[in-house]
Amino acid sequence: MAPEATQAGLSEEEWAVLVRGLGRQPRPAEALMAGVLWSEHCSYKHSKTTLRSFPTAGGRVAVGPGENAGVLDIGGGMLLAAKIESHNHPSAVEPFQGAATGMGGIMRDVLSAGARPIAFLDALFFGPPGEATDDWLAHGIVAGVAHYGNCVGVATVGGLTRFDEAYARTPLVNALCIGIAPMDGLLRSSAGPVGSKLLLIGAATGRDGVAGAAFASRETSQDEATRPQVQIGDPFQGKLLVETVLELAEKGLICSLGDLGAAGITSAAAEMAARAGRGVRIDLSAVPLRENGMTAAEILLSETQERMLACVRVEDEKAALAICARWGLPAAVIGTVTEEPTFHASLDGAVACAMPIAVLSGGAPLSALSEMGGQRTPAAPPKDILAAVMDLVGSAAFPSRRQVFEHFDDRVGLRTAVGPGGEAALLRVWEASATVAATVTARPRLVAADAFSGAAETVLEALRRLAAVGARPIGITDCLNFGDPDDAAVASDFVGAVRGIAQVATVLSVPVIGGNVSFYNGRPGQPILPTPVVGMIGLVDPAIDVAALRRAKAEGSLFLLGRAEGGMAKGLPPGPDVDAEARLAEEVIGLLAEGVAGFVKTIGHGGLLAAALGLAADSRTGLRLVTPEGADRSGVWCGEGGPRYLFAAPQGAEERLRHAAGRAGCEMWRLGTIGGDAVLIDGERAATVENLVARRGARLWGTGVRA
Amino acid sequence: MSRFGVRVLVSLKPGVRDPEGQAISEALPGIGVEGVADVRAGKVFDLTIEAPDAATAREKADVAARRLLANPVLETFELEMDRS
Amino acid sequence: MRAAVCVFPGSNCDRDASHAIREATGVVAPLVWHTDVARVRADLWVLPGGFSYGDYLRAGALAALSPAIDAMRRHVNEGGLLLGICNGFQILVEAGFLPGAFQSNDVLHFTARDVFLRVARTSSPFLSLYREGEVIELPIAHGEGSYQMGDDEASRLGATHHVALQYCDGAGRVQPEANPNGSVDGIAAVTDATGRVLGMMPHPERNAEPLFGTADGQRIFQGALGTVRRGVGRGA
Repeated sequence: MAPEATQAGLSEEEWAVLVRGLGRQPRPAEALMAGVLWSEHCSYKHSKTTLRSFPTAGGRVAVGPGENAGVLDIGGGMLLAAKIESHNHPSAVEPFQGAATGMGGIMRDVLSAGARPIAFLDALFFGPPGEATDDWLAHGIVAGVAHYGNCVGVATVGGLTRFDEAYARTPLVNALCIGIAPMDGLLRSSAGPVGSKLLLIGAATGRDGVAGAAFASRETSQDEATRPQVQIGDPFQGKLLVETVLELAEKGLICSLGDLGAAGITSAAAEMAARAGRGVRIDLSAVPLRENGMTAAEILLSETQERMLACVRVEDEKAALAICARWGLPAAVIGTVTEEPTFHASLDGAVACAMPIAVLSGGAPLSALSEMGGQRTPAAPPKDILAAVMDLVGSAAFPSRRQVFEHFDDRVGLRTAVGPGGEAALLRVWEASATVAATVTARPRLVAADAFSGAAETVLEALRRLAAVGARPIGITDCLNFGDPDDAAVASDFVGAVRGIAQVATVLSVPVIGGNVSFYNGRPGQPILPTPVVGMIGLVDPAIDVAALRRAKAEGSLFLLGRAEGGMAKGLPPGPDVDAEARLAEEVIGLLAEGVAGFVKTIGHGGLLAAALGLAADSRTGLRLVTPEGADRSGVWCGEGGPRYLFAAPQGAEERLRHAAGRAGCEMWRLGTIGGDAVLIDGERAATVENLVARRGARLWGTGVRA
Repeated sequence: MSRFGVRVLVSLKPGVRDPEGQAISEALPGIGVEGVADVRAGKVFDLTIEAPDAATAREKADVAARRLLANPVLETFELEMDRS
Repeated sequence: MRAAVCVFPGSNCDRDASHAIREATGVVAPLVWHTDVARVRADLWVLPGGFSYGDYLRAGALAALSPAIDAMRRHVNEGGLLLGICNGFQILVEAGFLPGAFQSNDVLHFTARDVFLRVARTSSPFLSLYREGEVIELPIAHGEGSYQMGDDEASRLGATHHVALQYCDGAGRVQPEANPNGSVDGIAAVTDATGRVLGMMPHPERNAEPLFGTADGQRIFQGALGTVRRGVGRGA
């Protein structure tokens, strides 16, 4: 195999495809560019075929997958852009900057649609607390998320923090960003007319992360020698970029916009050209540089953060540069859009690249993954109730995540009606007279037991969370975190999980508007748990009194709506009953809109027991609970899977709740009363309020600084 | 005109609270460094100054330090001329 | 009554301040780029929260060198009102409008949460609609919020400046357990001797509407602009 192929990260087959596509041997820069653009991270070569099964159109979709972010019409003349993305591998090596640059990258993707970023949600997965390396990773990642989000002024309004041995030394950092734009402010990333200019806006280019995308396509080992050039985020520049770009967009000076993420100028320019069926001619000497002596390949592939590529009409060039100067951002015209669909780049007159756009962008040979049949692994059967209580309360899942989200500004922007810690985040979009709901969910252990059902349950949990705040889903963005796709079991899980998400999304008529795939997560030979993360966006029913929802307290009696037993009582995830879920969700929204009940909890990991114990701890109250007559005790309290909701409501609400459950084809049980100083189940003392509150407030990590 | 290197060392005045220094000194035993009685965290600025002579360069650095680099309420500073 | 919000590179609570002023008083407060400030007349200027200049060097240190600061000095000397919120407070301190200096929070990380505050003094226009000793609730969101004073500054308390708000518990007790960042004497806000310059670390604009609960922050803006309306501030 040609050594240049290995150096560029291309397989023998890929090298042959490249040579054929060019009709000649590649120039050095061309080989490196193909190597990066055809890497897993950039090309989705292993996953593209599978992802085609997602429903992506219809409803409120203004822009589906394929652009930098998906865009939904939320009414009132406003659009909402959203996308979730991972930054796992860089965070495993340099947690602070890895997490920070992950936030910056997803924010710029949303900005590329012409949308003002208004919120972040983060799904974080760490090894168990107490292990020095994992604690260091967790501290760094949380600090990095905080550093970027707080400084750039975008509120972090939700997320999740999970611990599992499977993520030891191989953390996952998935960041979801939401932005809003007026209808006529939508920007695409398809290049403008022939002759229009390519304007590079933002930080001066250095050698950051050269070939970082290719690096993400090989599993991590933690030693110093493999530590590559790590990208450094600069949220101050990021903020200037947001304001500059939005002003340019508002003044109609931008034809199209792309973010410079993986593979920098190469991918941004190539994608912009590909979408328009045009080409680009770039003069690399015009790129503002931070370092001396950079080669053409380095300039083309640099992943210096806080840069965007704008396509600007010739007549608007001067005005655009003036606005960039006013905001204090470097900006330079580096090229032109050409009719001939070629990527042409030269440095000081020497041609570095002259490749057909079609070869560069979309030229990567795809490989399809397949699902193996019958691979269902029974989950551990639930123990007796009191033992289950001890496990839950003693686990790392029980302490409040406030100690994490306290690092994040959740209110900048004044849009946060409900912030972190609730069932879902609620954001005011007064421009549209609407309230948007957003949540992220993940059930990796269920997916490991059965990929299809576990992934389906992940989507359904998000549906329930939205219903619990009176919202109906309008779009999904997914982040699929898996191990090495060449491992047949990993590939099978991937295909099964996609199938599960696709099935539920299709039946619910909720489109997948975009997302991200991250492979090769895990330590060599030991992949992570299959971890599909679902981000779901919804609109709150206009009849909901959001202020009342905020104030709702757990008082009166406790009711269970839905199935008595969680579907996983027998050790396997249930097949999803999407119709029943949809009907019950609708009833829950109705109950909230009528003000019948204000306090709802969804039931997820740890089943009804976890929901009840969490409620007791957060409300600082005891509970007197009774198993519904005739139901299997362990199925009721420890079973997972729905459709099920826990309601706290005055006794007088009982009939209305029963009626709502009946309309959804489900049942309602009165579980007991709220009060006292302990949680009692069928008369047995399961936990004291004092102990629950203490465990809820327990520190997950020590407070020492680790060098 | 020549170029002169001036290093500005900014430190906290004695007695000023230093939670960062304290956290660092508490963390050191954790990496096997015992017996560190105290840590005070400060800042270093390396200025490359164009001036006709060293004295002028030093004076410029002094102004920069007094008016910007050090906060007079809590910090003091020292200047070190680069010998090379 | 005119109000305006000064925007530095990196300010990010500017829109919020303007929004809150409009919700609380009906006054439209434009966002003004810091180099344009001298061209705009207002009775109340707001230096908003955020990370001006990325908090480089020290929070507020670089913004304090902006030409806008000279305009603010003239504004105050002519009887105008000046409100610094969070980063704005840090800028006022770096620029010498108010004494003291900021350091990292005790916990060494950014902290976003609600706090109780005791109103220590009401003789400033900003605080005129509160009662002395009243306990209010506002959110904080900062990493360098620990307010410290040099020895000579602390001794001039009451002469050159006054404590306006202090972190306290729900019952109004100013004590260490209620102090979120290690500020000396639990100081959360300070006015100059005239009361027309207020620096506060908590964010009044984030609790200035009924949706957010008590709306305790409203009266900061209503007091300031109401005072002007009654002609107590500078002339028309």
